[in-house]
Amino acid sequence: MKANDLLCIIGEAADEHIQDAKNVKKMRMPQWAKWFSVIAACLVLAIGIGGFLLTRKGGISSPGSETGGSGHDGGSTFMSYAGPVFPLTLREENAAISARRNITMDFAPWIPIWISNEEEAASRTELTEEERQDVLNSYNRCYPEGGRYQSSRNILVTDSYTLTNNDTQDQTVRVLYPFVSSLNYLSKKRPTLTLNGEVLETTLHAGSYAGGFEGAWENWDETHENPGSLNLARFESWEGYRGLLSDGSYLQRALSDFVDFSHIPVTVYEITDAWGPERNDDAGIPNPTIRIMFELDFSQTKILSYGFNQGLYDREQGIMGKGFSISQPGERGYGVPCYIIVIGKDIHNISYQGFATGGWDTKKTVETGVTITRTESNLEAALRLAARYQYQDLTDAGNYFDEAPDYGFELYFGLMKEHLMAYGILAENGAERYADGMIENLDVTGVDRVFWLEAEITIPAGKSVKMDAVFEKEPSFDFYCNASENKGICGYDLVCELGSNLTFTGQTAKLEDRGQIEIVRQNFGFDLSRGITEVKLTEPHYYLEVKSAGKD
Amino acid sequence: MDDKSIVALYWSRSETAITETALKYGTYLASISSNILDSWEDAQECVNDTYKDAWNSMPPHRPSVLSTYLGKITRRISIDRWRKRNAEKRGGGELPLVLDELEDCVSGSGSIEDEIVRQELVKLFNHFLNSLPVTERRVFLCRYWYMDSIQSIARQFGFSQSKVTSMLHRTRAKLRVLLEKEGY
Repeated sequence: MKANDLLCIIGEAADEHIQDAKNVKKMRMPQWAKWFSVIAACLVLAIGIGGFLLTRKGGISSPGSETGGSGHDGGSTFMSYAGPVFPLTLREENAAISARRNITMDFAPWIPIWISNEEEAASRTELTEEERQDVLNSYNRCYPEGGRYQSSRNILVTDSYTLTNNDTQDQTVRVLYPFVSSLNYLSKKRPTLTLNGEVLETTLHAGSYAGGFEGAWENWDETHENPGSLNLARFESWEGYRGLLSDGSYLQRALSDFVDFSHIPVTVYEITDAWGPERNDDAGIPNPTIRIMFELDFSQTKILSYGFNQGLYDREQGIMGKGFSISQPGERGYGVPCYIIVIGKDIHNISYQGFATGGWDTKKTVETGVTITRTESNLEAALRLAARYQYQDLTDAGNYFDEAPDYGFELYFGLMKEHLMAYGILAENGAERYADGMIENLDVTGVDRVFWLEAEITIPAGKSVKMDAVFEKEPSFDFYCNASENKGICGYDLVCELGSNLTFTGQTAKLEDRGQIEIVRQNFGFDLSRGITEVKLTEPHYYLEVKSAGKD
Repeated sequence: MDDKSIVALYWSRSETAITETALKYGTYLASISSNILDSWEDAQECVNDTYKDAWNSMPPHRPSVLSTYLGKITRRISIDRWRKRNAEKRGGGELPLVLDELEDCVSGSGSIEDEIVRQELVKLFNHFLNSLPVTERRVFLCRYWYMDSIQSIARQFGFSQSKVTSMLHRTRAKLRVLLEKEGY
């Protein structure tokens, strides 16, 4: 047998072992968790619910949800739409400032680059010299020519602005540069802003979810309608963003403070010290589980939960159940409490029971135990407590690229509250997707939104400054299982004035094709065969769809 | 969305299945692929191919554990991609190191081409995994299934890198003994 054979055999490891291998979490209780437990236990506030509508309110009927399948004025509708490149704007409109924009789309990342084995090994700075030599030897065996080639389908965008102060007084302004990303990919997509070549210090602002909801395609064949809100409906073209940004309200919400839930009283049930038998397939206990059952009046009570992965909702009987698998030492989730956050009338007749599996139809019980602690608190404190654990989970194991979230807890928590209020059980007309009240299921980190980087700059009287936003832009593309006409095609698009309050004296686009592409569709007016690679921009939206010059 | 609903979307031929899969498992799958390929962009292509395979395979398949079902597809596609790139001298990632380490466990002669033999070997390997202490099994799979770097495993488990290296060495030795005993 060869190592390659063994590699394939390992690939057939049992599902539960593959899952279990990543089910690891450091067991140390974070200091903040202890501190927040004390705070949560001490807070007893009782205030009305009126403050809900103060800030950053969204919802299924908000402009952000006018999306999905709304037509398209040119170019392809891609299954995975990356969003356009947006223009710079100012936090406060300033009539003294005018702007000239020159955007360069550089296909340099498409050029295969040579990675030498020596460089590769030298980059492994975490290794000892001896280990590094071992790595180098391995690479040399695999790449006897001394290295390998690597390339990308991103493009390098340099969005340049010449900002001119037409006044006789110096002007200090706050610029806002927008871009599309999710929290998960923020570190890869965040632009770098420079002023006259010097990197600017920036503040990050995040907009709400850029998309809407749709049904589960039930009865589509008969009705050709897809009502409901079980699935996310993401933007498929720039027009979704036009609906979002054109009246300025989305940006204003992004710049305002997050809602504070301190005035909403809640009752919190903290479930700790869970114990039970070890997993034992042979004994018929593959997944020892604890179910918490309680009674409630569904019309007067809303339930948020954290740490549970099973649920039972019996509206007729007024019974709800929440279940969780008992974590073993060293597993992800071990030592982390579960929470039931009760908004409105308290629950009663709370009880628990251990079962051999997580299925609600399981009858086989096992001996288990938990400690259930009831406290009165407020929604801000209770939700913050659960969000801290969720954020810690993202830091410990949720980000599979070994990069800790770089956006900070407060932004994460604020966006969670916003999503909960706009689409979750706190919304007037919440999405079915979040009807179970499980905090983990809120799509806070995965959904696209528009972010802005804010920086302060001063433009001397009668002078100009040069500001650049530089970043790698991923392509829009189709998944291969559908729309084969777009197989291998990458789309990139930009908008000229959408969401900007600047007065533009002119805009141009430059294409650096690097000999890597063949243009399939566009409305820029580039013509590679005639050497036309720089064009004036006069339309609201431009698109460029290309494929590799070396491929069919 | 829960896995059962996502699988149902595949079965109903709704394109939303892909979107939901990408949302829930895109990052996870990309991490598996980028460990193998050491290239974010190539990993994205392999993840796209995973969606294609998932689309083509459901139905008839109705996986009980969607994450590992997709993960296995991604792993296979990424290894295939790596082999192709390696043939073009454009490999990369942890895979060369992993293969080098796995050489410890095998005789190096003959290939497993018979499907029945391969299935027996899969069974034997899963018995081997069952026999390992939990932490040792997890570390082994992080290295040889997920192809995490030693540094990454050390960070995940709170061990020193030398502890991870020696633990893997010990597990490989056990596997070699078992494979030799069973005549592989």
